[in-house]
Amino acid sequence: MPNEHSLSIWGLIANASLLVQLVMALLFLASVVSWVMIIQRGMYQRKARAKYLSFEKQFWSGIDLNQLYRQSNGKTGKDAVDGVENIFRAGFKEFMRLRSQSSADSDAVMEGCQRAMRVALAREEEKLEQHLPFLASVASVSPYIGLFGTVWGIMNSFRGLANVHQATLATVAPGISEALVATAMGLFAAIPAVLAYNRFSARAEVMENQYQTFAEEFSAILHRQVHSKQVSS
Amino acid sequence: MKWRSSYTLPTAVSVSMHLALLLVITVGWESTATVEPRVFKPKFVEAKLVELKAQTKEETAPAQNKVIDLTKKRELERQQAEAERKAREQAARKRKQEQERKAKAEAERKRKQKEEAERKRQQELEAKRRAEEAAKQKAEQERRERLERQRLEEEKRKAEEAARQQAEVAAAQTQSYVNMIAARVEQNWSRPPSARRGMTATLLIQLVPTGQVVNVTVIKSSGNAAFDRSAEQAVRRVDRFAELQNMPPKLFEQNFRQLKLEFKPEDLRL
Repeated sequence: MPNEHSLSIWGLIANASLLVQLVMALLFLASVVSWVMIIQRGMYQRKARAKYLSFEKQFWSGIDLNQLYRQSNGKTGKDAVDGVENIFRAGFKEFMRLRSQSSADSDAVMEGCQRAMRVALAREEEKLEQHLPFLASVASVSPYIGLFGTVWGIMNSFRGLANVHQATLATVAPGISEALVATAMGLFAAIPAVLAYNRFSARAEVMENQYQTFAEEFSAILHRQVHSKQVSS
Repeated sequence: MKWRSSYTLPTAVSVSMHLALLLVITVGWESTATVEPRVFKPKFVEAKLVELKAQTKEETAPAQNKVIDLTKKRELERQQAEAERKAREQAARKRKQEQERKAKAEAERKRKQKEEAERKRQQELEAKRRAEEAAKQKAEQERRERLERQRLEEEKRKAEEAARQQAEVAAAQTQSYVNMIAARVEQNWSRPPSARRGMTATLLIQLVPTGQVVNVTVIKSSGNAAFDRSAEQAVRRVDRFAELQNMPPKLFEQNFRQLKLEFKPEDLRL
């Protein structure tokens, strides 16, 4: 039964015009890529959060900062230094370097440390928000692309209708149904992207705030150390 | 290297998810079961010709004895006896052969009879079956004819109904058009002072499909020449009944090419 066959989803896709098929392929690709991003982001942010919690626990456990710094020296591979630890390392390294030059005064040391931490923080923020623009653009654009495919398909189906003397519902319906597949695919790509974008951008913001707080706290510790040295010497 | 490690798993998961979705769409989207056309096999018994084989025993040839002669007499006797025996034997053999042939012939005859009977039975069965089939076909045909007749009657009835309805509609339409024309004529009519109540003039109006009035004549006078003239004048003043343009052509041809209009104004007070 060819008629029945042509109304299945595959039949509709196969019978669509080339442009509509292109639109569908594009949307399908967008969906695949956006899901790659979603999963990758989810894994990365989860890892970053776990690392932040464990590092903070370690940091406030009263461990010597020198030891902490040396501990993370040899880390490579799976638990390579990432996230908040990078900020700590940047600040501490700068602090040690400046302190070894005896000429530097305390304010200069603090300024240098803070600058180094700001740079590291900016890098981390960049990492946290990677790919989120892509998700945002998929979320906002793919319904339009789908709609474009639908409009084009309906346009063609009506143009074909103009040559028919008796226009019944049965002559229009397949074309419209075919065209609507494109919109469905656009929504299919867009909805997860919207949800993921909102969730991940909110979580990235929370993480950035936590990093900032940590940087402030750490600079407070360094400040105390610098000034206590100055007073004692 | 880092790129690869952090993207392999997401890519694999995403692609497999989409493939699974495609699979679901392909396989499980339309779960409407298609009804397989069932074939009913006609039940019949296959008739077979059974052959009866005549069972005959192969006769074993008698063993030949070797005779050793001792004396001449004995020899002669023996020869005689031998000859006698031979003759006897021959006779016996002949008889036996005869019997066998008879038996064979008998068996053959019986077999033939049986075959004949079988064939007759088959033929009878065949004839019966044919007769049944013919009866069935006849019944079927009769049924079909009856249905056809019913259908035709139904159609005829429907067509009549439709025609009647159409005629009614046409009559109603005609009446409404005529009323409209009369109203238009009346509107354009200027009443002569001599007009009286109950005056009726019949006009013959010749029209073309655009509604244009081609000619007007009074075919039955009201008795008052001024009234007749005024009626004629009114029609001429209307000049064109624009409403007739979108009338179905058939209706126009039937009623309006030559329209007899009774001019009977109702607002006559005198």
